[in-house]
Amino acid sequence: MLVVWWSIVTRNGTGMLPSPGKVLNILLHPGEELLSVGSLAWNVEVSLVRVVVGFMAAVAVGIPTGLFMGYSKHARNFLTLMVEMARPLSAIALLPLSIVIFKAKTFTRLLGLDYLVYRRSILNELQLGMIFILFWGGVFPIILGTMQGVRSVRKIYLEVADILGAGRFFTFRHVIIPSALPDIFHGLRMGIGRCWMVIIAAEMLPGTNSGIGYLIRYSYQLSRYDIMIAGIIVVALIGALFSRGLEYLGEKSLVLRSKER
Amino acid sequence: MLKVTGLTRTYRESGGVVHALGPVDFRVERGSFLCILGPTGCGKTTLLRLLAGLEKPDSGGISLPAGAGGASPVIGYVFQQGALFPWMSVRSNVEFPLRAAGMDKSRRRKEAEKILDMMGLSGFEDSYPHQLSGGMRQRTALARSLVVNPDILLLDEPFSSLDTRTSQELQGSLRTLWKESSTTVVFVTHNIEEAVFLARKVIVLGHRPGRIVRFENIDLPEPRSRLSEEFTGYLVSLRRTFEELVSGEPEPVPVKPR
Repeated sequence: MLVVWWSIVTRNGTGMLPSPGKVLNILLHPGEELLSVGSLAWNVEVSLVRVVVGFMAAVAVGIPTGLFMGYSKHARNFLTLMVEMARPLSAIALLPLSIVIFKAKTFTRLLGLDYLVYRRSILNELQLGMIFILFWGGVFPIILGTMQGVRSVRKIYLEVADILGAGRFFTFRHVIIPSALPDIFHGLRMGIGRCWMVIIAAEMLPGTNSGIGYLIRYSYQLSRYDIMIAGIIVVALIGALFSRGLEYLGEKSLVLRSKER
Repeated sequence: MLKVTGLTRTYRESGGVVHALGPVDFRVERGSFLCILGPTGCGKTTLLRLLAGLEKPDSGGISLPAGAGGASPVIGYVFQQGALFPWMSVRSNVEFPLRAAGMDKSRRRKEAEKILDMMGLSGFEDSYPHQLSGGMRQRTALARSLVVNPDILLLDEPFSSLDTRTSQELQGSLRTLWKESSTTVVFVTHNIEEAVFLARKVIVLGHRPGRIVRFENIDLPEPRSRLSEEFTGYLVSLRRTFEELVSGEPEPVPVKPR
């Protein structure tokens, strides 16, 4: 319906909006250089790699922290305050600060691969500041989901484990974690959704000149609305894919988690 | 010997302290089958949880029959709803206590297979709890608590949510298993017929605070028949005690905090 309406509105080619055909043309040729900022595929790749790296960092910190906070009352009392203070601080609000702190340091510099600086390498586009705000955006839903999962383990399962002679570690590994998995995956889904929103917004701000968010803003400035809309569509599709993908993994894990080695 | 002396338990609730149990005293010899019979809310589950060490008594002592070679006894416990781990297959559920004890894979597989076979669960090893009927689930729960050869087996109304036929079937299995073993069984129920069919000894608990109002030895010829006159005799006699309990049922009285 939207496409039909869109086609009608743009049939004369006089309005502000480009026709669906033009947008489709861009989507179908992702390898073509656009506006001298790289191809659609390249910019998508940059955004994806940024999100994946930032999200991984959030997972690496968020899951252990959430497990710890769910399991230990002392850790919860202590860390909840910190989390609740930090959480409302939107990741985007931290972007300028993050750029100041991390300068424009990229993974190329971090890894000491200076010879790559003047080439087109994905590592040049992985600014530490960018990764940090992605981490910030993703980590809190993951912490809270994981903590929630651990805390909502039914007491009876813990009693069963206790009576059946399971030690603390064994219970944690074989009762608490599997029983928390659905909540953990829920947290991961929320987390990656947040990361994706954060990266698109962040790429529209100073600090980078690549990524799908940058492409959307830049094409807007040059009034190339066909590219802009193509970018928006790609953002929506990838966001949905992330969410569905994690949902799928979550369901899969529910089946797999008990399969014995 | 299972010995319980002066056991009491109170719970803090809004509006004061509820005296849930005791004082309760009894002793049962090793290898016996004891049923704790009582109306809902008489503290029978509390008593069982105290025996299992899931709760701590306010006062009094429990001494469980010692394990092999004087070791601390191995406890088996079956919850009302089975409480199987839903994310584990039947086999993994049954192997859980063996795995927790660090038994290697091939041995625990063998042990689990033996008990699953005994419980009539062969062919369902790879099923998940939600794929099983209520009876099968309780069989699995029973298998999981028996796989470690417990010295004392505690069961909390394990068959109460099953239909009569399945429930009687499982009563039969449990009784057969018990006769072949030296395990002391404590079985909590509110079903008089179940108690008379299963038990060698019956304790009737009265309402809050749960106190023993009757102690009965069930002396019936084997195999037990639910249709025999002696069986009915026990049934009627215990039902009378029960009726008296329920009709004279006092409201739970909050006791002032000490």
